[in-house]
Amino acid sequence: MLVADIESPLHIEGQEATLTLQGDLTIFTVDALKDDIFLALNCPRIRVSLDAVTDIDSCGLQLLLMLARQAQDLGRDFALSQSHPEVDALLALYGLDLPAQAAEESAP
Amino acid sequence: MFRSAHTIKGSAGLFALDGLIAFTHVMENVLDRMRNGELAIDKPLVALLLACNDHLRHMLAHYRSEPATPFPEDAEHRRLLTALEAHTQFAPTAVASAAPCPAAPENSESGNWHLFLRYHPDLFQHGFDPASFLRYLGKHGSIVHIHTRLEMPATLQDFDPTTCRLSNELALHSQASAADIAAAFEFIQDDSEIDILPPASDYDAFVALAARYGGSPETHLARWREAGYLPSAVSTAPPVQAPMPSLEAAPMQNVPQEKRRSVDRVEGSRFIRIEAAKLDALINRVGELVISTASSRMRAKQTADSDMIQAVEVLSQLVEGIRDDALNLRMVPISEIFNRFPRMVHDVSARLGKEIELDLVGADTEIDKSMIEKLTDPLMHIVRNAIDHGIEDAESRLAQGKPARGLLRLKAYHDTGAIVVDISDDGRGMNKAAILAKAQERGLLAEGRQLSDPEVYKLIFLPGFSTAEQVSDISGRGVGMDVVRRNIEALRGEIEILSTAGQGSTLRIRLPLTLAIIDGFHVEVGGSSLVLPLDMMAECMDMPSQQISRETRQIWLRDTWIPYISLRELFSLPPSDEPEYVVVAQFGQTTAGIIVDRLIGDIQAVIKPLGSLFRSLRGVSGSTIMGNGRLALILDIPQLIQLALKREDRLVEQRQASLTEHSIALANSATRPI
Amino acid sequence: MSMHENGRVPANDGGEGVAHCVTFVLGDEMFAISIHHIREIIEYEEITTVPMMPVFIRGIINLRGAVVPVVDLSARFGRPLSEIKPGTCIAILSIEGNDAFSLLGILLDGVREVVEIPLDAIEPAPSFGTRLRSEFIQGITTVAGRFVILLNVQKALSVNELSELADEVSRAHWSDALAGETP
Repeated sequence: MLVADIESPLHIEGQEATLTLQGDLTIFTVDALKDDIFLALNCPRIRVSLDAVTDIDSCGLQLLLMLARQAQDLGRDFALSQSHPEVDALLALYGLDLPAQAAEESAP
Repeated sequence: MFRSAHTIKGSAGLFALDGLIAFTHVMENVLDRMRNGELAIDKPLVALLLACNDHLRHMLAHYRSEPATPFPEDAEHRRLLTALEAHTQFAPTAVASAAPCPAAPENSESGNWHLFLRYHPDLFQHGFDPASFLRYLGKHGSIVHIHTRLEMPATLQDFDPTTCRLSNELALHSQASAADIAAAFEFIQDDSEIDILPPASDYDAFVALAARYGGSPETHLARWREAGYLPSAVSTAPPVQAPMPSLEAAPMQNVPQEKRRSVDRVEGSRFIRIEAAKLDALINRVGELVISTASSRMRAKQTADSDMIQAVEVLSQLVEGIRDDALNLRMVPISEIFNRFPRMVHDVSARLGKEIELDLVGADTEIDKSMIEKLTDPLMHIVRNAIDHGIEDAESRLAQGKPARGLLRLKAYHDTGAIVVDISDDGRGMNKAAILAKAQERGLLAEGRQLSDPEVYKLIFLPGFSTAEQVSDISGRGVGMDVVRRNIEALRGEIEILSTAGQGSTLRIRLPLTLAIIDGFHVEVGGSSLVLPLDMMAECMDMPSQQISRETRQIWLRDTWIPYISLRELFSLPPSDEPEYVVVAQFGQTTAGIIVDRLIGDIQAVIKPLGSLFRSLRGVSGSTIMGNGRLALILDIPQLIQLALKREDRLVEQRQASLTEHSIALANSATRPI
Repeated sequence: MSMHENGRVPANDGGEGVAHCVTFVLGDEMFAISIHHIREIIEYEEITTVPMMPVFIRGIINLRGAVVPVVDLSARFGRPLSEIKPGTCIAILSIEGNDAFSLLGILLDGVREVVEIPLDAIEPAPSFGTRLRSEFIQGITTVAGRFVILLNVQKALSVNELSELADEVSRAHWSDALAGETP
């Protein structure tokens, strides 16, 4: 359940940083993810894919929120490229939302 | 049962029993769905849960006997997991019902509870998740409005992502009793700040709460007014209906950008972020202001113009106030360091297979921000040492009649102008013989010297004491306690060891309140100006002509002998031919007299370091610029007291030895015919 | 051997082949220091004595808010302490240390001038004939018919060496005090 041997979730190409989060996004993994997540802030466009997330807790959510907030403060274009039922449920529980990628963007 | 499973998971999380966490997590999900009414309770499910219960007991027994080895995931384990997982699929209905019911918003007066949940920073680390409390509340009613606030860290570089920075404010429509609602927070109410306002609470209750919130109460009230929490009778604005939570949870693309609700900015109302360099510049400028005010004050006194003196007096009091305010800006709670320990202690003790309870006391004690970074490493090192070498393994603890679980306590408090941090454990204590043997072996011991206990303990701070031999994965790392001591001394601090064999040790670190400016007392010795930190001065008096033992350098102070140091003597100056004064200095539990030529008066001292040329100089901690532009040395009182005490021991010893010799000589001469 | 007695020679005027130096007298000998090392020369002000330090460290002064140690060169070279006279001033030198430049003051008596010494007029340090450690000497020359020792400031005032000497003295002083002896 630990994201031990997964390579860096961060992929930067040109102006866009893609964070592909996999496995658990919980108190046990946030430390390892922290640096990569905030490296993404260097790019004007940030896309976060949660498709492969297996579990999220409030600590994991908090990290996502921090990224979103910081991205907003820096004027970055931030969006979740994939919604995820468990993440959405947790966001809803907190009365929060995160920008999602517009439908036409996800077309190949 | 849900609560129990959750607690087991939370506690397992604390001790990183991964197998246990994974299992209870799945179990908790199933129980959660049952509680939400998403899963019908039928016979097979009950049987499954009972089997899980047995299995859980089995797992716990395993971890109790072999905490370090993972639980072997046998066929039964896999079968139960698969069966449980079959019940945890995220059905679309589950998502819908996990979100708060889009019930019609209620008028705030007609029966909404208002809950204000400010979670403790360590909440996550203690194995709790606010989401579970919110879900639990959802069972007692419907959350008609919820507001989540996130406090951003000052920097993204070195914050701890496991610190909880969330807080919630919510309106709950519920028929439940206050006790039922409060029960949701049973486990966290001691640490976290949980405020529950029952339906129809009056405006004053909100005002009182806003005042307790810190920051500007108006900001909080305005926010609550907007959310429709406030009773309309007194509300100045017309009551606003609580926004529909379903709208807030709606997907982004349906909402125009400007109307997007984002996480509230806590720091907007309570804190502003300042670049550290700007703060330092301000403090430096205030330091210059303090110096030039002192100089104006001196000039004013020379004019003998009483109006002028009065005006400058007022000015310097204001400057003093600004100085205190400016220094206060740099003060942060020591919890900034303490918060890193639960995780670290847990990791280290897990690796060593030790059970350790961490107790943090006085985490709100304030400390100069610039000391935070420099103090963290030494503290980490000491704590690692305590876990590695201090606290015994469970077996030998039990054999000694101690609880299996070791206790590690970090305690911060203020004491006579200093900040003290105690790191205590209830482990085996320092082994005097082993320390002596090792010091001997390393050639760190002077021949034939009897050392007191504290002196023996202090040997571990000598460079070259800790070496490769004791390097383990946990401590060692090539950094010795001498580095710890040097780091602490660089902060003008002192470190001391208290230890009782078999009962544990305490490392006591004593640090000055601030690094920048101190209230000092100006004295003169041989025409030189010297400054003593005022908060270490107990009293001043004339040098007594009686009740003084010049031979052992002791003076009688009320009911006890205290050692004294003549600065003239220490500085190799000829004895004074004028009456001298004694300044009684205090540091912690120690007291000594310091003999000076003249007492001048209070002075504000902006501390200037002396530079590398004076790196070995003891008894002097720095310098300061006085009103006349000249430099004065700041005395290092702790070191001077130490010197006085050690010398006192030696002189008293010598005197007794010579008295004994003398009496033997007398006795001999008496037997001889004269 | 050409000589430049004019003290008014500006620092940048020399071009290649000459060294601009400040000359001063210690005891009965004349010394020179390259002006590259000299940050400024200030009037003598009262020095705050720092106890338990070697005699050659006269103390510290406040140079516009910075604490600068002042060294007595004469004492540093094992001679008697310099006398403070009406014209005494303090030259603030910038000495390269391990990782940074540090400021150090030295006492100069009033008789001093800036001279231009042609590089080819500077001869290597003799291995005898001076009472100084030869590594302290950059070279020797004559100015206005007087024998002048051009100091190797980096060596003679090495921050490392001065600190070590200071360490030794202050440690010994402290342990004497501990032993109860009057140091």
